[in-house]
Amino acid sequence: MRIASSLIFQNTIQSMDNQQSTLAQLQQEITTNKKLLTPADDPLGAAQAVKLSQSGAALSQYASNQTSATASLGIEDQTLTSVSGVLTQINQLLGSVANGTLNDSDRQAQAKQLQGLRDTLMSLANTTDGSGNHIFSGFQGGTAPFTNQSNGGVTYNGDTGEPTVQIADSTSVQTADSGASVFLSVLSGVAAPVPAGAATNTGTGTFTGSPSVITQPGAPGNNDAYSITFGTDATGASVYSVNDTSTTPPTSISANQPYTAGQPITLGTGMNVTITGTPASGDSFTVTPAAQGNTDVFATIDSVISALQQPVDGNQAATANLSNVLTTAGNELGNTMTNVTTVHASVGGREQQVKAMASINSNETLQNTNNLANVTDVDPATVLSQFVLVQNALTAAQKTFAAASSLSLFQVINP
Amino acid sequence: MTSSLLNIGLSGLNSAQLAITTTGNNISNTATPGYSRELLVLSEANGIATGSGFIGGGVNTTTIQRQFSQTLNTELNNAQSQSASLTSYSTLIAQLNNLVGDPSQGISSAMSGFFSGLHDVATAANTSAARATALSNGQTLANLLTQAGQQFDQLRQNVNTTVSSTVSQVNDITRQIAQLNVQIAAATSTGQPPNQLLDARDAAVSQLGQLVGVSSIQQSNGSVTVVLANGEPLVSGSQSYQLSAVKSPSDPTELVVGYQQQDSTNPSNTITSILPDSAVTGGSLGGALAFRSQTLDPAESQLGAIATSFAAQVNAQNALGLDQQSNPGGNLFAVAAPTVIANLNNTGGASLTATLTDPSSPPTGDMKLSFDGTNYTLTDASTGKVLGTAPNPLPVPTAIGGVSLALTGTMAKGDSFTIEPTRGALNSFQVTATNGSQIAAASPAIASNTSSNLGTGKATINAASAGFVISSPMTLTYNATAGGLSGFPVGTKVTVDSSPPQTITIAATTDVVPYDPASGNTFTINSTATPPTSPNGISFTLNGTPKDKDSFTIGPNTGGNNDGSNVIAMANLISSTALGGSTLTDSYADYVNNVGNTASQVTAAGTAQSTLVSQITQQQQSVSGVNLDEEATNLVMYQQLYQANSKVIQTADSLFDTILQAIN
Repeated sequence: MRIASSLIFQNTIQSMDNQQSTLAQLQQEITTNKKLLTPADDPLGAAQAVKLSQSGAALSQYASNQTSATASLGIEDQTLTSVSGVLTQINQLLGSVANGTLNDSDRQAQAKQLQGLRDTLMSLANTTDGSGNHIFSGFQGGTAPFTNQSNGGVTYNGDTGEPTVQIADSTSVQTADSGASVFLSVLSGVAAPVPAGAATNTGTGTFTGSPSVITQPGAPGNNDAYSITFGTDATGASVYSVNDTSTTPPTSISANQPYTAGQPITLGTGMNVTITGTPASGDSFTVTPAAQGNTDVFATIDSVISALQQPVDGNQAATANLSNVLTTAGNELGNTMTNVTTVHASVGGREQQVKAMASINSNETLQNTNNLANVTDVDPATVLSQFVLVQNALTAAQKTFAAASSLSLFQVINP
Repeated sequence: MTSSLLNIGLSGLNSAQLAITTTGNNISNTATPGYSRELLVLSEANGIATGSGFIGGGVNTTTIQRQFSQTLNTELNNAQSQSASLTSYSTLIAQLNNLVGDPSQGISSAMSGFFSGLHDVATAANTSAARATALSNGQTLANLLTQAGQQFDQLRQNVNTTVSSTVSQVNDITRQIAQLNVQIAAATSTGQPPNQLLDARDAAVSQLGQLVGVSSIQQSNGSVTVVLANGEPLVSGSQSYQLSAVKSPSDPTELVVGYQQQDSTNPSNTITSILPDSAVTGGSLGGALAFRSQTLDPAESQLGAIATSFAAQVNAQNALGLDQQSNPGGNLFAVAAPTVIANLNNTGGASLTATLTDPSSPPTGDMKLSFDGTNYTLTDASTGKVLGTAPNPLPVPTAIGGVSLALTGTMAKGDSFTIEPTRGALNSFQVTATNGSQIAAASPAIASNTSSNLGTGKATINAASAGFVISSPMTLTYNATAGGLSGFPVGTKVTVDSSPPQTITIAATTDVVPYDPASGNTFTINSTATPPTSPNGISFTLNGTPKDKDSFTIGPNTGGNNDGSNVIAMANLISSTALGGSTLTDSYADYVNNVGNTASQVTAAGTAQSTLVSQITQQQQSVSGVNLDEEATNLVMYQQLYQANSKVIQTADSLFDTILQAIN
């Protein structure tokens, strides 16, 4: 075949152009360490890179959310540890107060001590996090959740909102509990019923031992409120009547039963209560399901403080009333402590959950980064060897051109 | 005898001289583009009849022949035209490809950034810093989108420039070809082919082919007729027809090619008819038009659809929450409604407005509404597929193909409108919120359990629905005997997701809506009043086993500015598949993939085509090209021919001398 002389030159130019542009492309890949600079470099890879970088962004956001959730839960965890400590101290104090050897002035001192502990508890309940948000006020972060009422107890100013943070594609974690659920609630179904003596009692009847005993757990009657009213029968002996007050009008459980101090009094089908001492006629006692009575731990402490401030020395009826107040308070405090412990355990569980997710997240992040690098990053060995290959081809083109261009008949003949 | 020998020598000498001239011309034009090698055609001269037989009369120079293959040349022209088209397409799409740039950066990363920022709002809903950051992330996205819109406009402008400049070059060349046709026809009549004019003409045709795809037909007088792909002539003999760049009647932002023809009724006027894109294929003009219709417009619509859907989804979710001031959320972003363009040739006075029926999943392709005098037809502008028809007058509203149409005035028969559902979205995309507090982070309602509840029932609030109203709390009480909740306000209907779901219209607050403690249920409360009154569009889920008389309160989330539940829902829109069944990220990945695929296909096709061009060039040049070695050999041969013929003359001379001396 005839070859046009000009084509030899044109072809050389074209092939050197192509090789040089390939070299430039490879050099850019080597210097940027990226093989995917525009979608045309690898259209499918580009689409994958879009998705992988979005997953990467989401994973990194989840990591940041996990940090923030850990911080929030950490503050709550610490606060609840302190709350449990204070509640334990209060519980011990109540125990020592119940010890009959104290006189009025000792009790005044105990009341002061109790007031101090109550203040500590109050300030714990109004704890704020690093950015000034109250951790126990639900969605109302800017509002202090608890303020004192003038007649004892507190007002809850927060709401029941449960702030959550998303820590994985389909997992959210609650990062705070409302103050109402920590300090003003008891565990329904678990909390022990609360016995109480009427403040107007004139006799010396008090609860003994573990005052209310559930003999048959889960009996429907255990969720009802009961009243025990004392009177005298025709012989003048002390008798009592038990009524279920959760119905209107109250349902009579038993009427005019002879009273023996220290003998259990049956309430409904599943509970009994033991009263000792000598209740006067007209004295009454109640046993209320924990959730339906006072669930406010501050009100409980306030009731004890106000009872301790009353002088009772030498007054048996007043001593009996104080004892009953302490029994009630001890029961309520116990329910609160169970509740706080449960919330605390759930916070710990959530911290574990975040930690587990964080570890999964970091694995996924690593995998994702790896996948993205596979799509977009250069494999240095491949690219460098390609570079050398093209470089050799270019050198070959240049050398063969030098040889071919000297092949002209005009250099040989002399026409 | 001697004179005949002299004549023979002379004819050889002349031929050799001509041959050397032709060879010299070949050598001097070795590098001339469009030059075809010339060859001297020799033939033996007529002999003289004698008794001894026919004596040769020397050599005749028949003609100087152009070495040219029409087949190869046509093949080469077509290949070059296709190659020019791909080069032009590839140059333009490379700009779009570079505009997309690193796929893991840019719009996709700005979109992820916006949604990530919302998570930060969720963790600290009452801090203005997180809200301000989220809003400024939105602004970054808006900037990138409007910037992309401007770059699309710039690319469209580049295509327009290519169209208008190419059209004027085409006109120059067709005029040249027409003139050359005249000269060639005149020169051919002398009997010898005008090789130089033919070369010039063929070069011009080849050059024209690189601007726009044409085919040429040889005429018997040596002239050519050049026609476009649809058969419209550009050059016919001495006549050339002009093209012009005119605004597209269906979209004045785009220039299209007009074909100027003499008005048959009034020969002093010209009529311009618009050439369809199918008539202008090949060449750099065809490449530019193909880029615009096949890549640029669809890509802008596709990205516009993502922007439209993003804004619609975020706005819709924002409307389901309460902002930092506890007001229902407004729009955070805005995009323009579909662009409607009345065809420039419309004769009726109608005007059309179009709105998207579902902005979170808008149609992307351009549409055309046409009126044939009895019916309205909406077609896909690029495929011509009929999307739907409607009778006259156009019912209000008419929703076809994802757009809702409203016509005012009357369309004349043959009138049409172009509807671009999302092409204007990029340029009009903007952040309308001015303050981070406008992000509706909180849910409108809150659920709580009464603290004296004895059971384990727990109520949690769900996302509200559009048009929610809740102004006062309601307390719902569990009735164990009836097995459900009562206390829903009169004038509402409650839907419970039991199996099968039930909707109960509340006539009295004692009406019981069933609840199954075994599985838990979701209750949705809607108002039956028009307009809806509180509560409306509120939903909550109850789980666990409540005891009789346990109660739950569903009320407005007053002051709950640390609530981030709605903004979490907004952040999760990143995995929402509202946009035609895929997520925003996946749609953007599709867009990147489309641009990348087309760019790499066009580039690959361009490379293949240029290989083809160089192969055909090699074949064509093997016929028409000059090989210097061959010319050198010919030069030696013709030189020797010249020398030999000189010797013949010398011999004749010496023979004559010999005779003279003999006589003397």
